[in-house]
Amino acid sequence: MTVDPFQDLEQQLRARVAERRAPQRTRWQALRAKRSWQIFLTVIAAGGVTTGALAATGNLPILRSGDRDSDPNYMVLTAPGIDVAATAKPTLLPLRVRDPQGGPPWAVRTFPIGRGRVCAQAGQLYEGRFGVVTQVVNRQIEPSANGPAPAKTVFQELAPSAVMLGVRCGAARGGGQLVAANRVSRIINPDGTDLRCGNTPPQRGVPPCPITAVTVVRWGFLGPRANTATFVEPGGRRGPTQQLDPRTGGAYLFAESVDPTPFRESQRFERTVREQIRTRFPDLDAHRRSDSRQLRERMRELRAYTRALSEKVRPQRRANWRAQQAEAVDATFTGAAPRRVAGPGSKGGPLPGVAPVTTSIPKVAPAKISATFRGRQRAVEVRFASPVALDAHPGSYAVSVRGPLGGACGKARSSQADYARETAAGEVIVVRLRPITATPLRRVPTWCQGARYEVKVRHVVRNSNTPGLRSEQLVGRTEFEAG
Amino acid sequence: MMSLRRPPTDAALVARIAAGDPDAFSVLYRRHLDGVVAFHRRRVASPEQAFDLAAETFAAIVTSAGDYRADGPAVGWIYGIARNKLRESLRRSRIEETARAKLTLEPVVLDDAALELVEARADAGDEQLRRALADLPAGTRDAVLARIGDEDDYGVIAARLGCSEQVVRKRVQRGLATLRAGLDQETP
Repeated sequence: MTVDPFQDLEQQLRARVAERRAPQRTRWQALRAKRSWQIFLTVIAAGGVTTGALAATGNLPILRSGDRDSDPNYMVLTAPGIDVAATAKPTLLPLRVRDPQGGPPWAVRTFPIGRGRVCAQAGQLYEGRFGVVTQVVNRQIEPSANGPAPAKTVFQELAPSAVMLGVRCGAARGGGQLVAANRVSRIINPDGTDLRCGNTPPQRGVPPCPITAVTVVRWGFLGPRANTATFVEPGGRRGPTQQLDPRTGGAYLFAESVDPTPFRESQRFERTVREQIRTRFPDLDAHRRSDSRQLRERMRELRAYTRALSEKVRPQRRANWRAQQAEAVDATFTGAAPRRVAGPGSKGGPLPGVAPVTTSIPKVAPAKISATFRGRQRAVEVRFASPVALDAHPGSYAVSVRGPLGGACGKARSSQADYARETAAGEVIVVRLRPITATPLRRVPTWCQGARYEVKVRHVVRNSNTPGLRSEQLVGRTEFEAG
Repeated sequence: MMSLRRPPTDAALVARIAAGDPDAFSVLYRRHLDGVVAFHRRRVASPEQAFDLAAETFAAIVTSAGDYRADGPAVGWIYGIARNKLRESLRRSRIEETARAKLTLEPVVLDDAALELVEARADAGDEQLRRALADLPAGTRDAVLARIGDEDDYGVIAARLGCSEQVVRKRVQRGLATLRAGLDQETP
């Protein structure tokens, strides 16, 4: 089971918003409603959709194979993308796999974003639309336009780079494909088994949603020499094998149902931890009703206790996490040994037939850097002519300032800004930097007057898709005095 | 029967939050979470504090949704709350808990994995803002950055950009509306 703190926060705030809806409730009733306190420990977050998100699909009718073109139980919503830099329409790859829960089939599409980069996105295909069967909240936000909210499954159409289920981007190779990328989403309760159970976090008196099924969606690109990809189930049993097409960059895609037991066990463990806290702090509700000072004190104790407990249970959580991440993908290649490319036991390193980009780190010539301090604006403008083009190459500039902190002129610290926009060689880049933030809660409002600050501009190459492709070259440095 | 609808505006969502619609809150929360986390993360030293400030910001959105007057883009109102929460915390040298206390929210405990999530959200928010800002006209971008990013007063920005305060207000308003359109999204 995966829960993140933002989800906890969302659920708590949702409950408070709902409480505001009922003016007919008496003050006492409202107070009683607030008694449903829960303590939520954060568990390890997995890449993928969480229990809360999918459990919320409830007992909505799920589209069955064969009738998806005319199923009246689907509502389609559109999610705009975040990436305004998508430079062309997406290309749908010819991969299709069936959804183990009987929903629309899964597919992968790619789209370029400029600077020689391409992004890939997995999703489901429904009536020619690309998206994902998603959660109940998206259905409920549209309740009244066509009458009362129908019990419809929602198909959320995704714009390119909408972040649902994740998008993977990297340098395009060969035929413009993304390679050496692997991604996984674990979808809990994809069939939305029971709407009557409590969501994450559980509500008072309502049992948590039992974990009935888990779907793993694993996809990626293995390069032009990849022949097959095989899904390996958590227990080691070999699942389906796909023949890969070099024209797609060796794209593979699996949507497989896996044993939900480790997820259930993790859920049980987290429930035990919550109970432990509840037993230790049985008096919070009483304090909440009566004494805010005592409540604050108990809350402080609660925080300390949950932090300590969190430390204690961390090993078990790690073990639970590993048990949930146990599936893998094995691949075969032309002219190279088979290897595990994703999941436990997989090794990094260049894929057969995929030329590493390590040779293309450009030699960056020094450039003159100017730093103009604008006292009124409390900012410094750093200017320099870009010695290399920021184009297809995965490079960027890091502009850092180092100097003493604020009015008290404390210890020297560094502050950094990154610049990664498409830029021609010789083009003048202007980066504006604000004073350094000093401590967590004491922001330094000004530079340290009269102090000297050092500005450094470095050309940085970091590419997580290509191990070893990492460089930092100093472009130039200068100093300025804060007036 | 298929139905395709435009996502609701922030202002409409805030009105529905005020009326007690939790789903409207979820939509607004997911739409702006990364941006708000990024806003705070850039200004405080630790992810825990960024999380606390984001929590306080959204709690304040819930408590003050009824006071929102739709005389400008709601995104400005949201970041205004974020800014105020940050200011209060800086002034008092501790993270404010007023709104969360008012709503009697339970503490959310953050372990290492959760802190990584906070950082990831902040990065995503930064990236969204960077990309969206890149598309704004230069004058508008400067005005939005100065107002939202650097928290400058309209008068100060006007003097710097060499235009009237009214022009700055209009640019910020337009810029925020464009940003809202660019950032309109659902998160996983």
